Amino acid sequence: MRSATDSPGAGGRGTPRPGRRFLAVLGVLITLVLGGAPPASAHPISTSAVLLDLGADEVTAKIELPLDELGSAFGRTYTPSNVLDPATITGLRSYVRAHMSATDPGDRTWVTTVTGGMVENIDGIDHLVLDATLTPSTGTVGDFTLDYDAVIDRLASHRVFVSARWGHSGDYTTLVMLSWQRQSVPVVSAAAPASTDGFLSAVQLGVEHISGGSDHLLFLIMLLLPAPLLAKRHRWVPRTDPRRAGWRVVHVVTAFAIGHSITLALGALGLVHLPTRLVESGIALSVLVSAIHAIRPLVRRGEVLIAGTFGLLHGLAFAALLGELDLSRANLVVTLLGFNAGIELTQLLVVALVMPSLIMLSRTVIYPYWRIGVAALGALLAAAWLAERTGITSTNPVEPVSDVLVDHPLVLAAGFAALALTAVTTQRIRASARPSG
Amino acid sequence: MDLNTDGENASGANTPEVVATVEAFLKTLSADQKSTATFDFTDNQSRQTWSNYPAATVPRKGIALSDLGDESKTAALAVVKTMLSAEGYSQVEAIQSADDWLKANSDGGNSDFGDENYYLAVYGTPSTTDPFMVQFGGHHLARNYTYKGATASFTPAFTGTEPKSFTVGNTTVEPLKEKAGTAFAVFNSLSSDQDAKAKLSANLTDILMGPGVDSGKFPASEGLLVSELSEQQKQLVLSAIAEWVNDAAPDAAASLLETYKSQLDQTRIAYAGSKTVDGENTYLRIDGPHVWIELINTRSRSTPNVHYHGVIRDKNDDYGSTNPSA
Repeated sequence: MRSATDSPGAGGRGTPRPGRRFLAVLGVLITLVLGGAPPASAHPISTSAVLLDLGADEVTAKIELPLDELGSAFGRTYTPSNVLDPATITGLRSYVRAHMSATDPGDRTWVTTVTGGMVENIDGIDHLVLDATLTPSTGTVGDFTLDYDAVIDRLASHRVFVSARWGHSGDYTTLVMLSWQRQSVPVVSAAAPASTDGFLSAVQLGVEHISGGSDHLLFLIMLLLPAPLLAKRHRWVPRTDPRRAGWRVVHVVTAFAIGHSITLALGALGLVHLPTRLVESGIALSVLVSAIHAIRPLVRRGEVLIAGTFGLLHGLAFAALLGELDLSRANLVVTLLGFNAGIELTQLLVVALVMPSLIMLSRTVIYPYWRIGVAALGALLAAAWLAERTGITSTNPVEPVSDVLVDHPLVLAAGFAALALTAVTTQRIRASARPSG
Repeated sequence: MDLNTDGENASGANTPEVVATVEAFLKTLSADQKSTATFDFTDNQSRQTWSNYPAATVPRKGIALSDLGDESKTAALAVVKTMLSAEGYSQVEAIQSADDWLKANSDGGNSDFGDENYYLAVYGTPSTTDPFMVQFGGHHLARNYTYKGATASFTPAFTGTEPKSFTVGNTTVEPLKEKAGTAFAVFNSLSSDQDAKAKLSANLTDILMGPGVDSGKFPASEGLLVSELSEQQKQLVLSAIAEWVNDAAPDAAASLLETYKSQLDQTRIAYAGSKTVDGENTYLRIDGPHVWIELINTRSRSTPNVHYHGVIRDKNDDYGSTNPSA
């Protein structure tokens, strides 16, 4: 209808997904022109559809031309059979080819080819369906502007819905309704809109991975345990200047970040690859070494050294995980940065949760016992992991213990804080109760 | 939203009478009905949801006549009567009765039609000083009247009918008889030279400035300049424009027609398809510095014959604004 009783039929023209750039702008217009869902009695308005499939090296398109409007444009009557007459279809193919083009930001016009030709009944209207291919001269599909005015140039009232999808599957997203008012639309290739999402999902993956990996967390905690202390003749003794404990934490966290960032980048780029079992065993060993160091210092400033060197192994484990993200060269850097940001954020959160309690507790007499107890537990867990990962044992009997660490981090941190507070308070009460002088 | 009210409105509007009838109508409504019928003056999206389609297809803003009690319905129609001229109102009734005819005779979808599926909406607070708008419409009808003090805008206004001609009892009804008749008189008067200049190269199957086309952008001017016409032909053009303008209450309509008359020599006429009354894709256009009128034969599947879609817009004053889609 084009009439009164016709209705809008935008519904059949691809399912819009919210969030695409152009949808917001055009949704209102399309809604106004076409209204909501057509009732059963209404007939769809005859509109063309251009359905773009954005590939890596070319864009293919399905072009649906309603026969009634096509006939009005050319001043003749097309039927499902006469429109497929060889001379007619050849003419219509070259007509569409002359009215469809893609131009990239470098002003290079792509090559348009139009093939095919069959009649399909869509929403009760016979359509001629053609296939088009838009090929960039650069060989890579990037952002481009689609110019399209087939039918519109001869039938000024005609409307064309342009939709696109990425990766040849899923629903098409409506980009624009072309009409006498507008015959071109910018199309964004897949990589660009993914970058923001890619960064955030990489951050999220980083957070999830380190907070869900009890080995990484335990490694960090083992390294933090001796931070308030000073290694002296292979023994841990309290620091005289507690402010230096803070600096030691910064050194540990930085060393770990540098270590795992190096191998994460190398691993993600495919430059370094170690067998998973070796990496996982090495991580278990790193926890064991750091736990032993927390009990009795192995070398002076050992925690920084351990954080940096074993951090290299942890980075390789992170790199293996990046395979879960769809990595292309275009967004590799973004993903790496996001993933690493997620890891560092979580590390800092752990430090913020644990360190104040640790420093408080280190000023009490119970700290050596507590430190050794926690480190021993860490060493036990690490030994069990090591045995399992190297294949010495087939199961891990202490797995449930390490799961608690991951499942209830806030409860553990709160419990630890309560313990530290109680210990400090008790010590002060005792000190004040002692006769002075 | 910064829809301005800077349009070059017609003067001499009967704003006090419209305000009185709108206030009287609103008083008859329940609180719920009132909230359905009233909108902020700044609600640009709602005001632009008028359409040629039946309300079942494109839901309208405002309250349906079918949802009003007798008193409210009478008050609602009194608003429309006050906004329009006597001829303008009887045309509204004729378009509504065409919908009744479709309800009884069309090939399916009958329940979408009928003279109660027309809606009244009030935008802003009726005032003799501050801007407000009254919208009335349904299938093949849209009246968007914006008042600002003693001035008013009457566009965009959609007028169509399906079928073109039908009988009620023994009476033949042709809702667009005058609008179509005066327009065809213009194009039938053309010499072959004039005709060639007026003929557009493209075809059309519907009007270009229909519902949803509120960007403020109009097609490039094409066709034959009225200044190239004889005095007699110029009068025909003016009569054709007057049939659309005179839908509005008389004084303001006369003021608006003066504006369009003063711009007559810069106005163009154009047609596409054919010039025959029942021709497939017959399309007629009057395109002035301000005025924009389109009339076309279009098709539906409800009836076998072509029917009319028509619109009048003002390039500088739709919704009383120079910037309707702001």
